[in-house]
Amino acid sequence: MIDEETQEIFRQETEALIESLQECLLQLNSTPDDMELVTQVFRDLHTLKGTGAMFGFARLAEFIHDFEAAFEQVRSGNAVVTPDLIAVSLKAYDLIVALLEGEEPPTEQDAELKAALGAVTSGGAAPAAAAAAGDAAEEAPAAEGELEGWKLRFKLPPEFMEIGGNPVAILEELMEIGGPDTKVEALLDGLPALAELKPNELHTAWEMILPPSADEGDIRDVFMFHEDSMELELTAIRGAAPVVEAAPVEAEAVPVDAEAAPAEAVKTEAPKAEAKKSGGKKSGSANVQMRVSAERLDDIMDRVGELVIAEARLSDLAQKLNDPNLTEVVEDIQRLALGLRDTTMAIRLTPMSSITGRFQRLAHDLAGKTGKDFDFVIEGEETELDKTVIEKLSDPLVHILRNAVDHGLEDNDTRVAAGKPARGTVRLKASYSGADVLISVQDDGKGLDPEFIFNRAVDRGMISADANLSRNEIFHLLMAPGFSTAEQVTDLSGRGVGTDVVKSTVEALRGSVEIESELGQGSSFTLRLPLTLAIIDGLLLQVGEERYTVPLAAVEGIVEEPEEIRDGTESTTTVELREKLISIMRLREIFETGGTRADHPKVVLVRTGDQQIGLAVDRIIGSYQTVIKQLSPMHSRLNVFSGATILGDGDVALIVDVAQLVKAEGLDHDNKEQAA
Amino acid sequence: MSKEILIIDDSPSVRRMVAMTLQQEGYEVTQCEDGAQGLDTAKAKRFDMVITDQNMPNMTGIEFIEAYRNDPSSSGVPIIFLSTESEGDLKNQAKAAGALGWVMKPFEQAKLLAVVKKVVGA
Amino acid sequence: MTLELVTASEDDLKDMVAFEMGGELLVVPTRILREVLEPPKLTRVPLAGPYSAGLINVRGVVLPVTDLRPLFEMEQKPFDIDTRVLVLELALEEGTMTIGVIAEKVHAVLALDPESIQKVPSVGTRWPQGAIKGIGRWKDRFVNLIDVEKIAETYLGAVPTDESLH
Repeated sequence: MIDEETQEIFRQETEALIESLQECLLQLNSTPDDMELVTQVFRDLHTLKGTGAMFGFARLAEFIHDFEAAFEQVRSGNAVVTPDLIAVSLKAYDLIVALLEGEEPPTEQDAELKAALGAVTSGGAAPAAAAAAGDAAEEAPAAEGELEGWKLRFKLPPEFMEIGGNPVAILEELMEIGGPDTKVEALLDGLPALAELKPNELHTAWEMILPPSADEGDIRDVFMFHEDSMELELTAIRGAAPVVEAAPVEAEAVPVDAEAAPAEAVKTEAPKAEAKKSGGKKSGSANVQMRVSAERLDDIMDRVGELVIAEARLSDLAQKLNDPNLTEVVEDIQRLALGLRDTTMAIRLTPMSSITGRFQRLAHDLAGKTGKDFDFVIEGEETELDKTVIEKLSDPLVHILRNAVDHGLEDNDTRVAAGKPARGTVRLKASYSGADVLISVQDDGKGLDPEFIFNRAVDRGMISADANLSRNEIFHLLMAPGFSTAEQVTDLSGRGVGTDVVKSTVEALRGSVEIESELGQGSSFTLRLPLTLAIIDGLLLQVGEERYTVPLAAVEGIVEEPEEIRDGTESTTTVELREKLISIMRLREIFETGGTRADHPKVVLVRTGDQQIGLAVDRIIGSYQTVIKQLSPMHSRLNVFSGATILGDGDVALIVDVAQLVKAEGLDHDNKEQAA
Repeated sequence: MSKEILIIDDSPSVRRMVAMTLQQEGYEVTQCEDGAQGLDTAKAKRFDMVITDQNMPNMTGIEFIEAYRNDPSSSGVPIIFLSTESEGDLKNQAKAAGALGWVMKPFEQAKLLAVVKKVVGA
Repeated sequence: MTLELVTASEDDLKDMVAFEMGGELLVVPTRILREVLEPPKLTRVPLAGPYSAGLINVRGVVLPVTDLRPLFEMEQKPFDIDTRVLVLELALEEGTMTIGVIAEKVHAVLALDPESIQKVPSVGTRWPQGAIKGIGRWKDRFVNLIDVEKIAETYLGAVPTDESLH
């Protein structure tokens, strides 16, 4: 009955919940008094329990029930958050993850963890599940005498119709149970005087005689929602033998007396309508989020692309027909189509915070296992990247982070001896830089020793002993395959993503890894990734008769092309602009576009890495939202183009990857250093 | 005309499951993901029935019922409250606030359907 | 070896689409043909080499288009009213790749007799290594069974080159 897509939604939903759960638990570790976090944990557990039970995860639901009870103790002030509670909770979290993944860990674990949870929340929670409310009262001892029928007398609550009940449906249902032999009589003695009669209030009672064939359970089921707020008497009518009356059904004792709280009383209460801000620790994460598969978004994106193109054709037609009414509608459609395009594109972006939870957990575990005390600081969590890129970065970052703690940070004594604070710091930082996103992991540990790395690479036969390598090149040996094979495999190695995988993953995303390190001061590994988002702001340029796009984020200015370089035909040149010497790349020559030269050619100043470069073009067409289409394998090896886009008129334009073009033309720094 | 049912639950998977169960039986289903959104929707249009979860961000199910019942347009609209077993007393609070009935989580699709049919008819 | 390839695709032989290029008749299985387009506006890709004709927009999807004439050492000729682009879906080792192939003129779908298929002589033909699976006969003409997958993998850069290794 549960289709695959629902299962998938369930999977994604629980994934988000456990991610949030873990993150909250870790945050609670440092801010144990944050009740909002406690509430969030409670809420996450609660939803996991309810949803899990719906999807057949009975063991999970049962386990979470006790987990939740432990946090209920905290929420109600009977217990406090302690490091022990967090430690046990994280283990409980692991069990939840295992159960959700369909694993079947030994069941003793559940009991042990429940006991541990109970023990760390003072007083020990006694979370015995409330007895199922619907439990029927114990069967009356079998009565002597033959059952001749049922006498039923009932009076529904006065607000019954007001709250959407339908007395006619109730009667019909009873008639159906009783069949044609059912007798019904309305008892009108409860009716108020006419003047006080409110049309929506129900005061009628009914008495019915049902045949013995009617099942007692079925009769009671009719009133399942109302038993405790109504008058109901169900009596067995027995013949011959002395009639043993079944006890009249009475409303079970309940904490809230429904009779005492008629609908009117509720209504006079001020409605608690002021929407409470989501209980989450940061807005956005507690809000309900929709998770959609990337392929689906790609589909939408393609369709929106088609829509925009169809819209462009429509505009063309409207212009030709020159009908003001049509033009007006077309303009509306144009606005809507562009809005839709923007919105669709924004959907793909996900903040870094969506994966930082697992790094916090990792840092927590690493601290425990290595015995190294350190602060783990996350900066720029709000930096947004394409969702698929973020997911791919997770493993490399885990690896780098693990290395930073395992090999970067010294143990606390060594740090003190070296005159550093005993507590180290590891920083995960995300930021934008021009058209790139930078994600770095920095530690203030012992730093990289170039000499050590060099010798080791020689030992491994990776380089010859007389190789002449720059400091930067030596650092990059760390990421060459085979460098780290002999490293002791610690308990922390986890899935064992090798450092070479960091490099290959990042390069597959068209990015690069930058390593900086100062011996004794620490190291930083920075992943530099192009904003390979589905959408960028692009600047559309014309070169000859062709059009190209560059990411607007990289553009720092546009100037008239200086007279002195206009006639040159080399692909690159240099010119002094604003008292600075700037390399110019002539796109006309590099791309061999041909076509006529513009009378007033322009130079677009773009930033790549830490240098400014000029692109000589014929004309600036303007900036616009650019949907990036990946190039097929036939063209993707040309890394000077990061993709293509479809323009409003349906034509395809290439997106220039400035950094790669600079590299291809030999204008990048590494090359310059070597040349020098 | 098919009966229109509003389902308010912050869990997309539960929402979808409920919606599909009901849609298969020919009901029209509108979905909202929290009480506040549910309130706006319920006030804007009369449904044949409202099904609401309790534990949701922004506005809980009971808060929703209270606020909705305070609006005259809710008169005669049945509300079914979804609740988990551990929250036995909540169902009474929900009733006090104006729910017609409740369904305990976890529920089977057939059970839900039976309740819906009972309340609004097939 | 070539014959094996041919027999393996015997089913395909019953249903081939034929097109004209540089005076030769080329065929590909209709199984891989997605659609036939009027010559669309091509966006040239600089630095992409002679086999790349450019990029086209097919209902919001950007597709690469290849011109096989330079590969087959055929003369170029401008687009005319007969020119078409065959959109083919290729199953490559790296995954599927949808590609446009320029055709000077598209003929009807035809069936080839497997018996008529011959190996390609290894020397003395215009066909580069691996580009042709075999040569068959249809009416009084030779038809060349081109191996588009192989061409894509070998000549069109579908497989990453060693460039990326420093």
